[in-house]
Amino acid sequence: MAEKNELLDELKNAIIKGERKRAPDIAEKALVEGSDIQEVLKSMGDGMGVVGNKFEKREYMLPDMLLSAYTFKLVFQNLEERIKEGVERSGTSLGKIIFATVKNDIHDIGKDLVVAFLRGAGYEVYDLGVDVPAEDIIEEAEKVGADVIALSALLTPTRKELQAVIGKLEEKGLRDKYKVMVGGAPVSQKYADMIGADGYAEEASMAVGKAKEVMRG
Amino acid sequence: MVTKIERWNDVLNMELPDMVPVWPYAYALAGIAGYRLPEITTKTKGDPEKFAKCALLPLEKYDYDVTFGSYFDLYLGTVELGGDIEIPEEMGQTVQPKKYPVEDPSDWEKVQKKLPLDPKRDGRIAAVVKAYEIVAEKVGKTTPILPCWWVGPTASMVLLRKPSDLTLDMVINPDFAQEIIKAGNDFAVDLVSAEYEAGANSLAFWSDVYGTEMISTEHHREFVLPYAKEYSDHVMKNFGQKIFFHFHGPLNLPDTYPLVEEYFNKVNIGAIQWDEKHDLEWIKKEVVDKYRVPTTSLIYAPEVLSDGPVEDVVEESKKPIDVFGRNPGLIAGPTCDLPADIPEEYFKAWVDTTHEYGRYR
Repeated sequence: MAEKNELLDELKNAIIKGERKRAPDIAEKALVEGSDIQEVLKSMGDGMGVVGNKFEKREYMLPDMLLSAYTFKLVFQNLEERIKEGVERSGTSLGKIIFATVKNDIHDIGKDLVVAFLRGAGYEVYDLGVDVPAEDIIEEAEKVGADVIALSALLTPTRKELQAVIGKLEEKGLRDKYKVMVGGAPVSQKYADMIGADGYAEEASMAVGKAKEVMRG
Repeated sequence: MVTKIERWNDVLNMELPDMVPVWPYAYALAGIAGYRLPEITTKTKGDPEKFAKCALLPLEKYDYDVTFGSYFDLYLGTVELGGDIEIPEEMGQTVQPKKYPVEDPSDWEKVQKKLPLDPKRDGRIAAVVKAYEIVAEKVGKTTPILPCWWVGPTASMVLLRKPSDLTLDMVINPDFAQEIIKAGNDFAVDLVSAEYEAGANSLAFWSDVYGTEMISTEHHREFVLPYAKEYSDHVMKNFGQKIFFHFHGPLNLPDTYPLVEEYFNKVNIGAIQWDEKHDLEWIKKEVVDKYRVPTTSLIYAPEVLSDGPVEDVVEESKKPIDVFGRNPGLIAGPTCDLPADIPEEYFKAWVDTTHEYGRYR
């Protein structure tokens, strides 16, 4: 038991420190020593939680946070199938979230960070990548039965694509079916309200709280 | 009759101008001029006449005070170095990268062989330089024309390497990051030199996206400041001009404020453009009065100028003028680049209010 808990702590610390070469092995060892996939995922999520707090206090800056998110992603990819099975078996998913950077925008830093935070918190996140047209986002949301559509835009010219997704949802009569969260440098609470989004997160680390809030609402 | 260049120079010299000048920092000049990008550029070649019109038409229409000498966009030179871009059809969009020249560190050796680029001959860059000649010929005697390109890591991320990869390089492969950043900065210096030679006549404008919100003060000292100094020294030595510095991220925190002094010690700063994280009264007290350097006001374009209404634009345009009173050092400017979708009446209300309410003589 001691060994198992030590490994889970070690994994959490490896995520915090961004130890990308060690973290996947630690996760495997933790599973061999008897941890279940939920415990492993919780350690990783706890690690990302610490990273978010450090960023808010300016103890961590973007490169540190990116390194942690990158490490999280490596471990997650390694365990993806087992995580899916574990979540399905235990029914512990907090909800399904479709995530994309909108059309004509290829920026992925914010998206990747938020995806890591959300996965760490226990959401099933379907990362569609960057430069994704509104139609594709909605199609995927329908396909997986998403609860939330989360959208990122980094450029002022591309923020209107956020509105385009909401417009398309309305056009298709699907607006009430999904909560829509938005974020990115040119987006503000005022803009989010103006386009009729359900939630806006100013920083990546705030997205988890916002997701919980919109899903409650 | 005071010319725009006289008005601008009064501000740079920290004297009261006849009226507060307006600096509409915009990469979306094509959209503001009414062009969709495919009308003015392909992946590898631009139309210099239309690039010049992108600068001249809005200048004529809104009568602001300072301009770039061309349409500008990201990823000039990226195709020539083996990357790929997309020219979006939609109005007001910027060029998008499809493939960066250095996707993987192993690409670097091959890309290095294609450097340096020649700003007067290669791809879309040549059209930018030619447009500066056209604009300088038309308005160079009366209007400040700013040369422009990014600095340090930002210059590299709009030419060579994806931002997230470059940012990770800084922590997992810092020597490689330095090489890539140096190459981006060398391109910036060459491009800005070509723009001066083509007729740019005032401060060199640069934007640093890798500000204190993205990287630590320590990383800033390591990965940005040395390149900023190199760029600034080159511009001063060869063209006798200072830098118009657009900074992202807060400089008013205990851990970041020391950078202000370090910048003033190392870089010939002629004016600063701030983002919305700052307060104009703080800027006036801690930077303008202390270092005797002008500043832009803090108009948050995505909300104030894009969303209006006119009454709000007028009110927001007056606020910075009230903060400065009859003290010199104010340039009316946005917190970051202007989007192309600003309604004409809001754009005009900003310029006209600034000129009328900010009239000193």
